[in-house]
Amino acid sequence: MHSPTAEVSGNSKDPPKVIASIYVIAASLYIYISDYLLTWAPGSSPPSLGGQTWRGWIFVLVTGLLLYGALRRWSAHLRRAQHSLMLTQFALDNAVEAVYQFDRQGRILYANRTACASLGIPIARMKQKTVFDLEPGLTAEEWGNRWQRRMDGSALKIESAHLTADGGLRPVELSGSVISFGEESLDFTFALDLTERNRAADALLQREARFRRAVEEAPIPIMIHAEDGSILSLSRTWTELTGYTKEELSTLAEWTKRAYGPRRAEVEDHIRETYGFTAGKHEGEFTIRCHDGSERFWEFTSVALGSLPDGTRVAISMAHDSTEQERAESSLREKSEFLGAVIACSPVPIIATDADGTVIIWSPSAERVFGWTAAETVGRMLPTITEHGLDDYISLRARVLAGETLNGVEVERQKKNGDSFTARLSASPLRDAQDLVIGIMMSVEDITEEKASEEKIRNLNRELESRVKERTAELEAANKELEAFSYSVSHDLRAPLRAVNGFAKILLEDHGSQLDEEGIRIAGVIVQSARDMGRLIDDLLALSRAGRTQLSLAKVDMEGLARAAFAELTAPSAPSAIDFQMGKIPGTVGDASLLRQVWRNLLANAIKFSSRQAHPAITVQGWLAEEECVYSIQDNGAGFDMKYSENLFGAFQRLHTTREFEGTGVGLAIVKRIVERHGGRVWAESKPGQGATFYFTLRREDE
Amino acid sequence: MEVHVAHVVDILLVEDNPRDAELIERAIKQHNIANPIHVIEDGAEALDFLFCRGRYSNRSFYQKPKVIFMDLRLPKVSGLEVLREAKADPRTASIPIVIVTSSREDPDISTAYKLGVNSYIVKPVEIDAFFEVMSRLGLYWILVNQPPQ
Repeated sequence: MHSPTAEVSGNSKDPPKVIASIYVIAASLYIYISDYLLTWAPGSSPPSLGGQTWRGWIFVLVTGLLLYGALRRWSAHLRRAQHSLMLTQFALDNAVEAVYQFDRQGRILYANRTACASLGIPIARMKQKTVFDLEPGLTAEEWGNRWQRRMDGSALKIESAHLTADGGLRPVELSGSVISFGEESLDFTFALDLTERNRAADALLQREARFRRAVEEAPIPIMIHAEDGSILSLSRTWTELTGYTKEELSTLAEWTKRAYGPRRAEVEDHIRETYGFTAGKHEGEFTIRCHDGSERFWEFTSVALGSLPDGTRVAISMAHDSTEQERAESSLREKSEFLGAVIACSPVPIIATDADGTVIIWSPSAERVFGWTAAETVGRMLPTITEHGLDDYISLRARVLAGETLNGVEVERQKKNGDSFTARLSASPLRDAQDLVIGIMMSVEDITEEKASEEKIRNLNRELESRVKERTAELEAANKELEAFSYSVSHDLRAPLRAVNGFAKILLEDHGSQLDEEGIRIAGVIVQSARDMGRLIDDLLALSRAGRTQLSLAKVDMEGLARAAFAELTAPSAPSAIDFQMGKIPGTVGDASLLRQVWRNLLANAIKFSSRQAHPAITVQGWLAEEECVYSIQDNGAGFDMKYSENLFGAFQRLHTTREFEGTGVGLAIVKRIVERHGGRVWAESKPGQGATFYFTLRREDE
Repeated sequence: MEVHVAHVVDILLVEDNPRDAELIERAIKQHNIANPIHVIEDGAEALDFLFCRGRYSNRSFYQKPKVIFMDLRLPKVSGLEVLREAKADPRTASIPIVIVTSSREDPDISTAYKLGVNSYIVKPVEIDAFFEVMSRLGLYWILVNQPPQ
């Protein structure tokens, strides 16, 4: 059989007509000729067309017509068959699949349009190829196998690849069969291009992979599980949060056993219902046990997710781990309770209001102090503001709502019984999570008593001050009196003294000639005694002044003072007689005139005692100690026995008889009093026959 | 009793302490100053003398002493008061008044000068110095100083 052509029917020649016509003509001719021939014997005249000939012609005509009819029917039938074949051919040629016809040797007898297009090989070249060209790697043995199997009737589906024109491989699924026509058999192979299918499959796989990845990498625990108890997918978060590994959670049963323990039955019931959820359903909070034994709170939402190919229903469950939230909430509760306890036990009323002034918190101490109970105040406006204090309250409240914290502001408030009182207010703004001010927290302390105490203290202080003033005045008065007294005493004492002195002198001057030696001596004693008394009075006055006068403090140049004092003391006598040594001595702060006296007295002392020596020497030194200045006056005089020096600085104490050294013994007492009034101290060191050193300390200049 | 006083009193000594008065007199006389000295013992009498009244009503304003040595502490009327009155009255203002007193107190000194005292002497404590000063005073005011006419 030759390959059918793609020609569409449309026979211009009409075979039936032609054949019939030829028959008729041929038959007619034959009849004519045969008749002629028959009748024409050798030598006879040509026959005439007899009647038998006409019967022959009619016979031929009729049969010719019959033949024509039959041929036409047959032709039509043939044409129909042809059309059918052409349609089939067309269908085959343009089939979705590539269709090939191979012979036993593998030669391509036919390849449809799709095949050519699919591989990019034109039909002409296709016919030159064999199946081995198409399918690289196909062995003859394999081909034989295939052929045989197909012949046996199995409609094999083989996945293979066809080589395209440009050297690529097109994945195909080969199916078909071998058709035998008597001795001949032909292979009809359908090659389904798998490229699209493969691509679709890949895309599907990829989508699946993406989905899987999405599930696995989700930041929340997600599980895809099936009715048969298998876990199809488990997000990483699931295992991370619970501490179980994927291997440990191989099935739902494993999960429920580990996570729920004895409660698993109940949970498993829940899980079974999920396969029927048509929409996402929030299942509530479940407490799960983690690998390490700790508990977490998970809120589950599940929805059905279709079925597996085998019909097993699948569901996806997602969990919201509210453990932290729970912990935060319970911590918040704790803190709240703690705060509540603090507020409750605070002795100072604690009140909180919202931004409008509605009371939110009213502590027990507020109840106690103000009189309103919490029930009477919470949820209502603050009842504690007085009419008088309203403006103040409004402005303060505005300030706190603006973010200011008030501390210890005195305000007026009122109690339930109408009494108004002074309170100390501390208030701070309450803020929400967005840091907006939503209310005010305040403590309001009744300071009526405190104020009363303050007033009392103020009064006491005032009293004290006035008392102090009084006393000071009294003291000043007493001082003044004393001063007046000493002044008057000294002057009043001087008058008779002058008289004694004066008249004794007159006696000696005018009547001395009438006195004998003894008389003169006695008069002398009188004069001397009067003189002594005068000196005593002076010393006493000085001592009294030293103790009384107000110190006028200023920086004092001690070096200058000492030199001046020495100059004063030695001016009368020859100054060079005494070897006076003085280095640099520090200055101090004090009363210059009094300190001059100190130098005078000490230097006078030194001069007095060293003047007996052959080479009298006085050394003055001064230096800075830690918190004071120290000065020393050393003489090389007679010195004294420390044993008797206890009262060296006492008034009128003398360590030498008047015969040895004159003096009233007040000098050192004056020194002591002045130095001590300056906050310093005096002392002396000596050894009999080895001179004496007197020390005194005064404040440092820089203090 | 009217006291008959020599018309001319060159030195008026107003001193309440008689012993001091005696010593002062003696001191003044040391330089052979023989001018008449009159001693008055209290401030009131001093004013009487100055203003020629009371016991001294027979004195005249024209008989001015050459100098008045006056203590501040006087009975009845104080020295400063006498000074004030004396210097306030034109009839007596020109008489030189020398305060001779034990007070070294500043208020006394400045008040005295404000009132117009001619000199302020503090009695030396020491007797020798006392004599010395007093005699010098006498010498100065009687012999050296020119009294007003």
